[in-house]
Amino acid sequence: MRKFILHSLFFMSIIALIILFSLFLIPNKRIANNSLYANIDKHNRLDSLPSPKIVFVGGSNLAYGLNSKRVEDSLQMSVVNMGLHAGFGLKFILNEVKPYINKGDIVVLSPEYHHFYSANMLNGEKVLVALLFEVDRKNMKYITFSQLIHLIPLTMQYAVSKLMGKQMDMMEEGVETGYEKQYKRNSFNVYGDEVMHLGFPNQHIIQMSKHTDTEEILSESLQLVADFDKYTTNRNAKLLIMPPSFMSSTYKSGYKHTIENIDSKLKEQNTPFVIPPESFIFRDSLFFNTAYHLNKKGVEQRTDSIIKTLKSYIKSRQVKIVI
Amino acid sequence: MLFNSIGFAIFFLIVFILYWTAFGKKYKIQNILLLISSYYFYGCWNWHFLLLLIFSTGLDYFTGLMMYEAPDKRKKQLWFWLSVCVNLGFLGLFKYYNFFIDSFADLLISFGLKANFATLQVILPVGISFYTFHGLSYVIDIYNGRIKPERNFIHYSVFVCFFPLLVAGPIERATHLLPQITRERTFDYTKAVDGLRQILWGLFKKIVIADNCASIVNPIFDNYHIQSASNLLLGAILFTFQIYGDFSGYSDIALGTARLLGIELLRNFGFPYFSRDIAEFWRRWHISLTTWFRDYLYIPLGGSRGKKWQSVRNTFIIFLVSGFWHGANWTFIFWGAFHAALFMPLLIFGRNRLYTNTVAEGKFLPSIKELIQMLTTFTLVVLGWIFFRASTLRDAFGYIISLFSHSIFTMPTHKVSTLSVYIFSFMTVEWIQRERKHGLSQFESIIKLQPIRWGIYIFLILSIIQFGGKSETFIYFQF
Repeated sequence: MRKFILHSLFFMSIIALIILFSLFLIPNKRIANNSLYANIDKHNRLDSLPSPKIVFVGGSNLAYGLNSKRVEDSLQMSVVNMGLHAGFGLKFILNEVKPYINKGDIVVLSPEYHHFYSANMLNGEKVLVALLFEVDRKNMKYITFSQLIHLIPLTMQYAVSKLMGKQMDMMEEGVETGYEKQYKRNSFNVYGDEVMHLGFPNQHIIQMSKHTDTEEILSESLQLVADFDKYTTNRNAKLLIMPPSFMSSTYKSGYKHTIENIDSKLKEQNTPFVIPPESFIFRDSLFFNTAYHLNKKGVEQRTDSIIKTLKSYIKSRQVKIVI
Repeated sequence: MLFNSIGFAIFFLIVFILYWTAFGKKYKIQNILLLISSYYFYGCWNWHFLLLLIFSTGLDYFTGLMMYEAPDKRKKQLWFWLSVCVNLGFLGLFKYYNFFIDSFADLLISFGLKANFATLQVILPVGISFYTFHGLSYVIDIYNGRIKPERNFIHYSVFVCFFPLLVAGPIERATHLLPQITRERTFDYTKAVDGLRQILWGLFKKIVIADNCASIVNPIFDNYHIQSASNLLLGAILFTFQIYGDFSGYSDIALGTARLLGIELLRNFGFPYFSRDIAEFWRRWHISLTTWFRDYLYIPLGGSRGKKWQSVRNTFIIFLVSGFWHGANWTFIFWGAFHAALFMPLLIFGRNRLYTNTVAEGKFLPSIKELIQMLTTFTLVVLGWIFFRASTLRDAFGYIISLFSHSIFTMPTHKVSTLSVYIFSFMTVEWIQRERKHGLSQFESIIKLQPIRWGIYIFLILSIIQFGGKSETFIYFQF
C-alpha cells in the first residue's frame, strides 16, 4: 500500500511539474497578432472614452455583427464594441466592463444564447485561460472565485495544449476548418468591430449541435443579467438587452423553443430584450461562418435595427427629461 | 457525478484512502463505507431517485428471503412474480410508458381515429435498466435454486449499488460478485496498478477518442440533410468509434475502480471491432448484457434446444428485446432486428460458433481472409450504428439514402487528421493487446523499460487533460 501511494504521488508530481513548466515557462511566440489581443485595444478605447458613451457588451455576435461607426455617427455618442468571444463566459464579459460604466452611459448587452444554458459559457472556456495567461494577466481581477475553480481543469488543458503545440488551434478557432485569416488583432477597427471578414465571401458555416429541450436555462446566468441591470442603474447608466443575430435555419432546427424560453425568463425578471429575438433571426445568406457571425450585408441590416432601437430609446429618455 | 470529472477523482480518492486505511480492513465496515459512498454517488445524480433505488434493493432482498423460505411452490411463485412485476413495472413506467402511449396513439391515428392520451413528464432514473437487471438476476437465481439469498442487507445492497457499476454496468451476477463482497479483501499492489492502468485506458478511450468523435458526429447527425455523403460516411464511422470508446471506456473505468477496491467485475468488452462475423461481435460487445439475456431469457425460452425454427424465433426475440432494452425508440428495436437479420444466416447454417477464439491468435498480423472478414463485419456494424444513433427511423433511412450520392467522392469538410492519428494508435494498441484483458493489461511484459512505460502513461494522461474538461456524459447512462 505504502509503495503504491508513494509511486502514485511521485507520478502525480511529475505531471504537476510538466503542467507548471508549460504554463509559465514555455513562451507562446505565435499569437502576437491573434484576435484575442484585440481585447487590449478594446479596453484602451473603453478607458479613454468620456461618458456618456455607448458600450456594446457580448461575444463574437457583436464583433461580427455591428458597424459601430454608423451607430456613433447616427447617435452622436462615442461607441465601443467590446464583443470578442462568447467563450470568455458571461461572467467575465460583464465583469470586465463594470468599472468603466458611468453616469449617462448606455450599455447594450447582446449575449449569445449559449450563455444561458452552458456552464462553460457562463464561467468561461479555454479561450479565457489563453486570454488570462497570454494576453493580459491584469484581466485576472475580473475573475471570481467560483470561476477560478471552474477554470482549473481548463488551465491544465491549456498548459498541455501549449506543450503539444496546439495553442494556435485553440485560439484561432478557424484553423481547424482552414478559415483563419480573420482571427487577427489587426482585423478589428478602432471601435472594436471585426472588419476584415467584410471583404471575404461567405465561408462554410460551422454547425452547432441541435439544442434539446431537456437542457435547462441556467438560473445563474439570468441572475447575472439581473444583477448587471441593478449595477448599471446604480451607476446612473442604462442597460438595454438586445438579442444576438442568429441564423434562420439553426433557429428552426432545434433552437426556437430555447430562445423563446430565454426570452420569457428575461421578461419574467424584468430584464427583457428591448426588441423581440425574432427581429434578429436573419436568413442564412447573411451569415459568414457561424450561426452568430454576420457578413457585410447582415452587419448593415442589423446595425440599421440597432440604430433605430437606440434612437427610439434616446428619444423616449429625452421626453422623460423634458417632462 | 461522472467518472471523467474532477469531482469523481476527489470522491474516489477519499473512498480509497478510507477503505484501505481507516477501518482496520474489516470487510463488514468496508461494505458500509461502500454502501454510503454508493448512495452518495447516486444521490449526486438525483437524490429523489435514490429512494427508488433503495426501495428496489429492499424489495429484491425481501422477496429473495421470502422465496427461499416459502413453504410451498405456489407461495414461492407468488413472491417471485411480485418481484419481477414490480421491477419491470418501474422500468416500464419510467422508461417505456410514454413510448407505448405514443405508439398506440400513432396506430389509432393511422386508422383515422382520434387519439389524445396523457404522457408522463418524468426523467428516466439513471442506471435503472442496469440495477433492475441486477436485482432480477438475483431473484431468478434464487427461484431456480442456483443461489441462496443473502441475509445481510448491507452486503446485498452493496451487490446492487456498488458505485463503479451502478449507473452503466457491467451487469453483475450474484454468483460472481456476492462472494467477493462477503469476504475479506486484501490490497494487492499488482492488481491495484493494473486497475489504475485500466482506468487510464478507459479515460483515454472516453475523453480522447469518444468525446472528440462526438464533437464531429453530433452536428453531422443533427443536420444530416444538409451534409455531403462523404461527411455522412465520416459521421457514421466516427460514431462507431465514439460509442465503443464511450461505453467500453466506461466499463474499463468501472472495472479498474473496482479492482483498486479489491473487487473483480465481469468483463464487458473483448475487442469487438476485431470480430470476424456478427456472432463473434456479439460475444465481444456488451458481454454482461448479452450473457444476461442468454441465461435469463434465451435459455428459458428453449434456447437452441428443439427445432431450428424455435431457435431462430428465440434468437430473434433476444435481439429485439436487447434493442428495446437500450431505449424506448423504434430506432433501437430496428437496430436489434438488423443485427438479428445478420445473425440468422449464421444460425441457420450452424456457423454462429465458428469463431470463439481470438483472431490471428499468436500472430502479429491477420491473414487476408481474416482482414476481409473483419472489415466486412465492421462495415455492417457501422451501418447498424446509424439506426442506433439517429433520432427517428425516418432520419436513419434518410441518412443512409443520402450516403448514396455522388458527393461521396468529395472530401469531408471536417478535418480529422489529429483524431485519425489517435484512433489509429488506439486501434493498434487494442490489436496488440487483443488476447489480454484491456489495452494496457500486462503492459510491463510488452514495454519492459520503465522510463518508456512511464513516458507512455504520461503521454496518455496529458492527452486526457488536453481533451478533457468538457465532462461529456456517457451514452449508456441514458439506458
